[in-house]
Amino acid sequence: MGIDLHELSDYALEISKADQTEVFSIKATMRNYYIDDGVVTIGTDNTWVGVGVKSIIKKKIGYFSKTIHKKREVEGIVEKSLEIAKTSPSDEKFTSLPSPEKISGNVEGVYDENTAQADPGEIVENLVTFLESAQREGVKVMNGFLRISVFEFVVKNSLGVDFSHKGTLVYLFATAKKEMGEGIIKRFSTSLKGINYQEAGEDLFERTKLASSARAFKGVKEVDAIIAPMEAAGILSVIPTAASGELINRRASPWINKLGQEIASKDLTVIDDGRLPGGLRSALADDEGVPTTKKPIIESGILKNYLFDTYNAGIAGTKSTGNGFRRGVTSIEDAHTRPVSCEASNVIIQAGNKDLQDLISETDEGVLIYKFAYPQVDPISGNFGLEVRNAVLIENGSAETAIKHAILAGNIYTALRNISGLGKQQYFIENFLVPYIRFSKLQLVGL
Amino acid sequence: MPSVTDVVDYLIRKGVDFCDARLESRGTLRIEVVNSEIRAISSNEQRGLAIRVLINGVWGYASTTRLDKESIREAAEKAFKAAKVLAERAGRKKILLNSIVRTEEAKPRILIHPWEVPLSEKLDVLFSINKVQKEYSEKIVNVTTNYHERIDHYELANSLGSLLVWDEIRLSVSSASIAREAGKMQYSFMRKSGTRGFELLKELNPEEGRKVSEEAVKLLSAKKPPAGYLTVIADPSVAGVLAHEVMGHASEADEVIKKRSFLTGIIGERVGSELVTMVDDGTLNGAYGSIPFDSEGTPSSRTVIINKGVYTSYLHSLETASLMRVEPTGNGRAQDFNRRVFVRMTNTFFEPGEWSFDEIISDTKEGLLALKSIGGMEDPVGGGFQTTVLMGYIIKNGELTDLVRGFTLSGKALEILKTVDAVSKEFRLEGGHCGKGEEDYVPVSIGGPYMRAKMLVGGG
Repeated sequence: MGIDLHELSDYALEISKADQTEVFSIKATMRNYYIDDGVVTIGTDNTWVGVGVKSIIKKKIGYFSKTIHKKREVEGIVEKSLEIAKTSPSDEKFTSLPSPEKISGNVEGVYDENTAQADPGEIVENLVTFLESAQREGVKVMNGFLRISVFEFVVKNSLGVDFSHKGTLVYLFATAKKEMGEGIIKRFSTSLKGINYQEAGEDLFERTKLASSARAFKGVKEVDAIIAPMEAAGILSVIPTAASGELINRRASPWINKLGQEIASKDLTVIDDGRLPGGLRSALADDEGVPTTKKPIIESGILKNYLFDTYNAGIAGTKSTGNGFRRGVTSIEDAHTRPVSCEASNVIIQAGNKDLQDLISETDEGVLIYKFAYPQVDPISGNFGLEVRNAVLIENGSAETAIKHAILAGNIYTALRNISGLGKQQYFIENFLVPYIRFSKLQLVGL
Repeated sequence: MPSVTDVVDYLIRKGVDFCDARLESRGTLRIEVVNSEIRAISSNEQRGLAIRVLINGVWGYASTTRLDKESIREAAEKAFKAAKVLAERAGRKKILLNSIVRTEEAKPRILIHPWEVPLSEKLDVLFSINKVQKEYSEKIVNVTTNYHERIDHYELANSLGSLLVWDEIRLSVSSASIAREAGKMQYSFMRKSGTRGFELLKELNPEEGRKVSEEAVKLLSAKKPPAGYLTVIADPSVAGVLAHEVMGHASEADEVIKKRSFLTGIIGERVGSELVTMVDDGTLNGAYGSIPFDSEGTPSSRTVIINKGVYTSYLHSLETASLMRVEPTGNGRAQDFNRRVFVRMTNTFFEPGEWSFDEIISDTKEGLLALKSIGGMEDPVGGGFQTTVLMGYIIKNGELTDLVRGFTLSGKALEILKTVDAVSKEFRLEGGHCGKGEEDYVPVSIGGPYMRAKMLVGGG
């Protein structure tokens, strides 16, 4: 598309009459190849340019964004952003947009030209490999898609911040069915070749076969729960949420005034790394142009750092940690529409020293969970009650009976203190790098 | 800029089984007030053209935000090429779509267009609710009040001859309060929404904010809920999750055609007690999920999915209706011009019954009242129901007793529906956004009456 983001951003800054102005512009292509009933049935190809302008006039803040098709449309965006700022009450907590900082170093594995240029035939070949690997012995892939996002963004502000980044994101999602059992897999990478389609298909086959043999769990018992990476990433998303500088400032986090305190098992170390090679959110700077960093959120069970964007760092009297984000990781569509907020870059749950079989054989009474209905945890109270859809009961170190229709219940902030084992292999799940994790003392409730 | 009919004419000349072009313009405004201060005011406009081509049972889609002749031609070629490439590999049969052909323009039925209301007036309403939330108690540590308006304009043409123009207007306001005491934290929330104008906010009593904070504070001392297979009185939000997530998603005919749905081949069979009637109705005036037309130009309709316990109908897009040889129901929807069209719900709910809420409580010897669902997840394969609720009350000998904190409800939907033995007159719909397979969000509403049934309870 023939719009130069740098030129467009410079023009917006030039015509803005605000005290401070920030321009975020993004050019993106998203291609989806959908699988329905074992066949690739829909191919989509979408392209767009989006621009978001933040204007500040005497601490009054306005944000307006729009998809555009020619450079001069930014005039209207700047005008509307100014109009919103003028009619807004002043935000006395606002200090300043970020000032430019030296951005050095490099970040690997975030953009792949072959992925950006892949033709439909090549993409479909990957899906055919995946389907052939998954579909046998009565297992059929019902739904799925392979999504390729190719993007370039530029963020500039009137104080001199000038950062650009380009990336590729690949997301494979699929469900398969055998009788009344359903398996689900997800794979994430920054390149098409970063996904092993054969392995993904085999994994889906195994998950589905297991689900088809599952029986409803009966009774109530205390268990050690080994949670697979796909679901562990979901429930552990409370960690960056509770460490968000925004929630800390709002007093809405349970981790207020807990820096330096023990909040988890000493086996748990969680790192936010904005430059993780191959990380879905890796870049030299965040979405407001502040250099990204690598720092522990939790180190050996001790809460070490909160995550700040510039606005919230200003309120807390500290510096941004390079955690101002608006980009999604499974899709890049709405990046320009969202003002920055405090979010994790890439979250590394540090690996342990056990393989999955070790974790199982050490467990007397437990459950190995591959899939919840949805891994949702209340970040305020920490309470959860998750419906188990694909799991295996463990008894005396042996995982044998597949189960479903049960609820795993507990409190995540208590469960973090009860981590009793971490796998040694980590997996990319969205912007998490996470191993199998065993939590002790959770409640399993069945019919 | 070429019109949507120009694109369709161009593709017809290339030789397609079916095609359509849908121009979408969307304007949104979001305001977030936190602890009596503005946290964010952001507005967005997006405009794009979605083009679909059907060749030998396979779809090619393309969209573009550049609306000059050359870019649109390029997008049309991409859609055509995608359909051609995939059709060669898929080996599917030709599908003939049976669309209701019409030329029509539809305007939203609202009283006050949100664009006619100054920002300051919107802020006044939000600040007044936020203030009431905050002032309720010193235990309230954080209060948030959000406003969201969305104005959509659509123009659609298809190769069968339809030409449609319509607008949709949606508003929502929501509040959440967080209470804290002795290291414990709890919260509560409320949300009002609809395909309505600013009159929605004018009707809102700021005192509703007080109830939100009151619930959050009360939850600090709530007891642990019981666990096991219990008699549960589901409030309209919980009944709505059962209707939408389990029975609704499994009634989407694309899931039925590929036999992914546990409701495949079930038409005419009893799936619930006689008290259970379930409907998807996109025509309801003011409901958040209402639409004049779906994303394929089919007028929305009322589909009775379960009638007095007997399963009666699936929900259809043009493609599924054609494949199953029935009429389309106006349920082919897309999140936006970047996303695919497939079968989606509109307003999905259980119909009210004849009991009053008080009668149901007093008739319950031992049970649990489940209030305020905070989400659920579809399970079209297994038919499993799952939702987590914010709070509940233990019922003993026909009276509400202890307040209990959040818990999870679960069970097999068909087993739950067969145990429904009381349905209230009180009825409520709640608006929100539905994803299918964790994404592709479209505005919907869910709801129903208070319903008594047996379910699995855990968590808390």
